[in-house]
Amino acid sequence: MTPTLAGVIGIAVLFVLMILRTPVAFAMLLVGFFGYWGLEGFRSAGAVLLTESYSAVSAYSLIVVPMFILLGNISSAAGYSRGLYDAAFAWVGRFRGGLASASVLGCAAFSAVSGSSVATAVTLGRVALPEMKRLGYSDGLATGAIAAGGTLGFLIPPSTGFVLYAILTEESIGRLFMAGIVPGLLLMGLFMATIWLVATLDPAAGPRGAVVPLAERFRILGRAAPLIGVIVLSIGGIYVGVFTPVEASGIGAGLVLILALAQRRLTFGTLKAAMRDTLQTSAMLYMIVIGANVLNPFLAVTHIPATLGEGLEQLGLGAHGTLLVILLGYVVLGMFMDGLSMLVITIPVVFPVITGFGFDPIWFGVVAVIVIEMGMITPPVGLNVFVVRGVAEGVSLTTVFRGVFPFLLAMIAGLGLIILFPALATAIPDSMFD
Amino acid sequence: MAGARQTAGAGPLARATLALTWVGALCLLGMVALIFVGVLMRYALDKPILGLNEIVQLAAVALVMSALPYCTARGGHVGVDVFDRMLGRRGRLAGDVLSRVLSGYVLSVLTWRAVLKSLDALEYGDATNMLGLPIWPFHAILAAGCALCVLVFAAELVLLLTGRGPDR
Repeated sequence: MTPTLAGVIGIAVLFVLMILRTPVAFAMLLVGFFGYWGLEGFRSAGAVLLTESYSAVSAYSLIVVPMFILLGNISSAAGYSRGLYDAAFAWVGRFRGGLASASVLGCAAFSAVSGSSVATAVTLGRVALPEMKRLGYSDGLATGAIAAGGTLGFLIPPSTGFVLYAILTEESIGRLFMAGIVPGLLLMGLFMATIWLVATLDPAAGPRGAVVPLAERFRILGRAAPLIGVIVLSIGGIYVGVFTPVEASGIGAGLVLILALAQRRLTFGTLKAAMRDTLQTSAMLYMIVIGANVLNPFLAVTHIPATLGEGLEQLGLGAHGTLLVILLGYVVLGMFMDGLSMLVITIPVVFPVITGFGFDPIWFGVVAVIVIEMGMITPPVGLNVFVVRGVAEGVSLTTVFRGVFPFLLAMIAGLGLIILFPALATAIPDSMFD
Repeated sequence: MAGARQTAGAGPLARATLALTWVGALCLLGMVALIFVGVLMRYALDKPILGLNEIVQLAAVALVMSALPYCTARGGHVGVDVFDRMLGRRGRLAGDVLSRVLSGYVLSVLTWRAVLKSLDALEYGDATNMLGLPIWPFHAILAAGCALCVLVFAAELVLLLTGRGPDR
């Protein structure tokens, strides 16, 4: 058997295992281990298994994962998400669809302490959905705004997507984080414009909220200030070069923990739950990295990434044609895989092709993350849509998918802008002091 | 392996994995404190702590390996479930059994290799670069975490094969 054939079989087996409900991390681990065994022998496979697993769990840069997850979980458990939403509402609530816009704004702010789309959608959904229901918002607009806003969690730093992308491609986590800021704000703006448009076309779908006096607005913003301060300090610290991403994550988690304890916003029970959730999510993410780490040496000996790259080049589609083919592939995969798994499985294969065409690796990280986010709100497996439906009582899945559709168009527009103007993603990281 | 929650989530094994999360929580808080103090020392007092990264890195090994059995027992690993209905009850059972047998086997190999590496490191006194911390305990922790995961898989297999198994 040629190594390439072994590689093709390996990838086929990977998908069969996943269809048969093997978790993605273990499917990668199995194919990597048995594939390497087949090509290089049992002894080598065992050696690769141990070194790759240990290098994953002891990787210094991966320490941002538990730290940022803890930061997000503590913020959520301490109810800081409520403060962010209230502040957002005070400022934009009086516009058409104001509560939905406030939800998106709240999602964007919460995204700056959370690296996960699902966590962002759940946290803000719990706060904002009942409010929107009370004011008579249409279920579609309310749930659509939360599901779409939640995807910002993956794009606005800190982002687990960027951490995994950085680990797989050996790019800088700090630069990727910075690259996500403008595209994240751009999507936030586009989402809010979408809400305004929907509420203008159908005023009953998103009535205006109460007008909050200016002094009151500042007072409410002041209440959210401590958390905003933590966000500015940790993310700003990475930009200025004062902190490494690991330090920023530790400082952020430490400050929020101290803040929440000082304000007596945590009970032993909520703290314990936040810690357990942090441990579980961290283990899940580390296991994905272990799986990817063991799969990649196998893929390397099969020459699959190189062969695929040559094949795509021979198609003669040019750089942007190839990019389009790859992005369409992501959209298809996104229909039945979750974002992180998709990223981890595809990047080792796709990344050499993309950089071979001369695309900026940091920029592609942003593009890949946005396409993956789109998968989180498209049927049949839109993870965020399921999550939001779980939080919103008595709303059908179809309603959420329908409600999220205008936001999907906004995302496609945003993606188009970032492809046309790569500087939207690269300007901030290129101006960093490093 | 979602769904294993109700069944493997009880009993002595589940209690063991839960107890282990206390170790993980300790590592987590310790890491936050170390990074926090490290930054303060460097900027405020201009006294960087030597080899801090090594301690944090080793704590991360302990954190992950103490959390992995818990995550596994709770069904916390992400998977694809769009095809579940198509698979049917027997298909799902076959998939769940296959997945646990193969994963259990590979993690057993990993456990074994980690034990050997740990003994090796102990014998030759392998240590970290900066602080000279012995590295054998961390391979031992890796081995222990993997071994516990294998036990979780074994317990779930027994439940699956006796018809009390998890079905999402």
